Amino acid sequence: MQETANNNVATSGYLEIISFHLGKQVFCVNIMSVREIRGWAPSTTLPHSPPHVLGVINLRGSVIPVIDMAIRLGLPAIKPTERSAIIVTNIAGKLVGLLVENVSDMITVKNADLQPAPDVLPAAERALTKAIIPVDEQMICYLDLDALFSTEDELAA
Amino acid sequence: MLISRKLPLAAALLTIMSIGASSIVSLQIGSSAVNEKIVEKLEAVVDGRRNQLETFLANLQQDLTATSQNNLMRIALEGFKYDWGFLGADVSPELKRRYITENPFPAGERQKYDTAQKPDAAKISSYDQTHERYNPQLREMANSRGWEDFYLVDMNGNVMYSVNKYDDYASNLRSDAMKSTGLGQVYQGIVGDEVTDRTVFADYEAYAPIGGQPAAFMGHALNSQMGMVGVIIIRVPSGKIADIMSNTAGLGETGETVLLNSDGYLISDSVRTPESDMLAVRVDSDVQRTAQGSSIVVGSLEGYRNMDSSVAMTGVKFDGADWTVAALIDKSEAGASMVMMRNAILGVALLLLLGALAISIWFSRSLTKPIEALVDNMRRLAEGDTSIELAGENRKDEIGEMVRSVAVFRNAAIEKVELEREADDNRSQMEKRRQDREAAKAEETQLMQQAVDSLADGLHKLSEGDLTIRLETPFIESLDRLRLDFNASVEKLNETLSDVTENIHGINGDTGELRAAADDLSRRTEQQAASLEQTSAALDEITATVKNSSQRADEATSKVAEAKQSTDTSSKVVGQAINAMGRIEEASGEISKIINVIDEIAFQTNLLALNAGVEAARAGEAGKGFAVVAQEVRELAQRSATAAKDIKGLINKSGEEVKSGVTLVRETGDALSMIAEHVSAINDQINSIATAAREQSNGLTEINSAVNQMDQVTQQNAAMVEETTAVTHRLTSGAASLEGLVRQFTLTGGSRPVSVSTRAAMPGPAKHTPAPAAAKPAARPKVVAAGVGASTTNSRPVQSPARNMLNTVARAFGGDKSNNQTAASQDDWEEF
Repeated sequence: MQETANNNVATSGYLEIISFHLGKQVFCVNIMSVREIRGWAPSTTLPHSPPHVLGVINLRGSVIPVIDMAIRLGLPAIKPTERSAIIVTNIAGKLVGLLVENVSDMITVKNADLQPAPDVLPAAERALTKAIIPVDEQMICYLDLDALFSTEDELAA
Repeated sequence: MLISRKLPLAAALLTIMSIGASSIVSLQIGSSAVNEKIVEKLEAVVDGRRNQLETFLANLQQDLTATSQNNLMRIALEGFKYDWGFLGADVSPELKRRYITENPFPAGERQKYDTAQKPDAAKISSYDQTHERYNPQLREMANSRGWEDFYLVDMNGNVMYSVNKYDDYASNLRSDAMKSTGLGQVYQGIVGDEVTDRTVFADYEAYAPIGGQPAAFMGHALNSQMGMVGVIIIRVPSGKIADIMSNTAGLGETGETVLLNSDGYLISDSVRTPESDMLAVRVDSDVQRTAQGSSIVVGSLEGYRNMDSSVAMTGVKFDGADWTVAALIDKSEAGASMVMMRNAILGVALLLLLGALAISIWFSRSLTKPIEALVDNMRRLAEGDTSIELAGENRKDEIGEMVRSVAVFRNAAIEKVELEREADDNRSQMEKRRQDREAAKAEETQLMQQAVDSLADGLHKLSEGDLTIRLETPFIESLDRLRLDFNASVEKLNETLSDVTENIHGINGDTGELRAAADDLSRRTEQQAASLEQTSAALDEITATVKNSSQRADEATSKVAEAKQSTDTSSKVVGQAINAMGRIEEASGEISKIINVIDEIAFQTNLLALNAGVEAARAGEAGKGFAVVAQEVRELAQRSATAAKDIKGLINKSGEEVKSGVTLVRETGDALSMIAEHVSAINDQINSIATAAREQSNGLTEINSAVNQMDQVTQQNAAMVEETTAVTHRLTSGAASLEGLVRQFTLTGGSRPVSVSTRAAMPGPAKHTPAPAAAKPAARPKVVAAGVGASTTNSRPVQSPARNMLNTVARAFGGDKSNNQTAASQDDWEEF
């Protein structure tokens, strides 16, 4: 799948992303890894879960975990409101809900516009940011969900 | 006539008169009482007989009616009718032969013959059989009821059966012989007139079949269901009526009761006569003609039984018979008791008369004897014989008195002779004394004449006004006092007139003064009246002004009330505005909720569009178009979300505006309440102004009445002043005339006449003027006190209507100013 996305990017030269807000910062993920976008619903907390794992929700019969992206990205925790959304993503064949503050847009960008993230962070952290996309006056941080999840696994392990 | 005759005669006359009068009265009363008793008795008897008779006749009718309803009668009649037909053509002679001529019983007992059938006869007659069957029953019935005969008659008038079998038996009632008899009349009355429901009656007449004896008949129809089939007739039992009428109880030896028919013939046999009177004796009486109907008439009857009798009659009406019952009694029998009574009274009267005569003769003797003796003595005394002896001086009656009086006369005659002798001696002495007295009297008369002449002369001069006259010559001793008194009187008169003259001058001066004062008073009173008029006018104006201001105050009060009402209304409006604001707020809240919903929908739409976009992206090239649509939807959702946000902002803003509006309105309400309070305060103020104005008005009314009173008083004063002036003028002229009168006299004395004349002239008034002037201040205050008010003194007026008025004003206006006003008014008053 990852390959498919890369192929897609490579072949078309265009990348479709979904941008969302966390605080004042705007992030985005590849649209192809998104399964569905849902409104906020309270989640069932899991015992002894790390701070960024909010709990689990019921998505049409299958139980999926919900992760607070702000905490996961080292930002101050967001307070869920009615306007918050859960982006259900398919990461390595697993469905994971990402709690974001606000889904702002669905944008198509040229691959050429993707800028590499500055080389100032440790490798583990740097791996989370695949690229920086400047759109108009905004800088959108393009997150690598696989990396995010693999780190997760590590953390979980 | 001598008293010895008069007295017995008078006694006899008195006795005769009293006894005669009382016996006449008692005889009359007795006679009328007896008459009344007889009349009552006759009335009672006649009424009783009438009632008995009517009862008897009614019973007779009832019996006959009952018999006619008895079936036996109809059956018997039918039987006889049936048999009648078998008797051949000569029915009547055949039956008369069988039951009358061949009847073994004599007339009157023929009813006992039950049948003419001979036991050995070959032929059997059905009539005889029927007769045998019914005769005993019918005979028994007639006997028991007292009927004299009983007939059964068929519709053709044939007498089918008769109990007693006289000549009327088996005859025909339509035949000429029978038609006019009572029997024929009854039959005709029933059959001819078809009377089926009552009895028919034929009055007493001589009836040939029974030998011309009187008979009355009564009949009734025999009715079957088919109608009338025959008639039954009875001969009325005269014997029973005679029994009723022959009762003479209570009617004495001559009285009886009789029954008369309408022609006046007796139809009951009189018990007082041996022969039969029925239809033979006639009583022709006016009483009977008036005694028709049930009323009882009383009268007298002459001729009947050759006697003069009292009679009472009353009518008995019965089925066409017009009878009269009469009760009568011989008048001589009725009056027998009266004759007895009269004889007894006459006998007693005669005895009484003889007794009275004897007593009166004895009594008159006892009186006349001593009177005759006394008369003889008195005659002797009149002839001068005083030596008479008087007997009976000790009697207690009037004769004794007379004797004693004669004794007094006798003694007086003896005294008189002695007195005459003494009187002759006295008379000669008296004559001598009288002559001496006449001589002295003549001398005295002469002296008195002189005195009178001189006194007359003096009086004459006095009458001419000369008061200088004096009588110098002395009078006789007894009259000299008269002269001295005359002189003193003239002297006194002289002095008095001098004083009068002096006083007249004084009065003249006073009246002049008085006139001046009165004129002054009059002028001032007029001034006062004018001032009062002005005051009154000014007061009227003030009153009008005060009334006007009072009205204005009232109007203001009403305006204020309106203003208060307006503010109250405004307060309500403010409350309503606040409520409206609240409602706007509520509505805004609702709108906000709706907007939230819209926002939510926009959000969800956005999410859906995103999902659609995701799906489109995942669909790759195939989802391109869809992605565009999703994008459009997303934009729409975002636009609605933005719009919702804008609306929300607007609504929040309007909510704030509404809040500030509410605050403002509330402040307006507070301001209005303040205004209402102020208005109330103004209202109170105006009310107090109105009250004050009303009080002023009242005060002014009182002032007005006070001024009116003052005006009246002033008018009265003016009138009084006028009168005073007139009186003063009259007084002046009176003084002048008085002075003229005094001047007629000539006055004596040294200085007196001179002083009088000088005082009467000019100096008099001049000299007297100061005196009234000095008296003036003393008199003035009274005038002031009387209300004229023209005071020149400093003393305050004690009491005046004006002061009352001012007090009233002060009370009316009240407050601090009143004192000043009162003071000012007081000053005004005193100036005035």
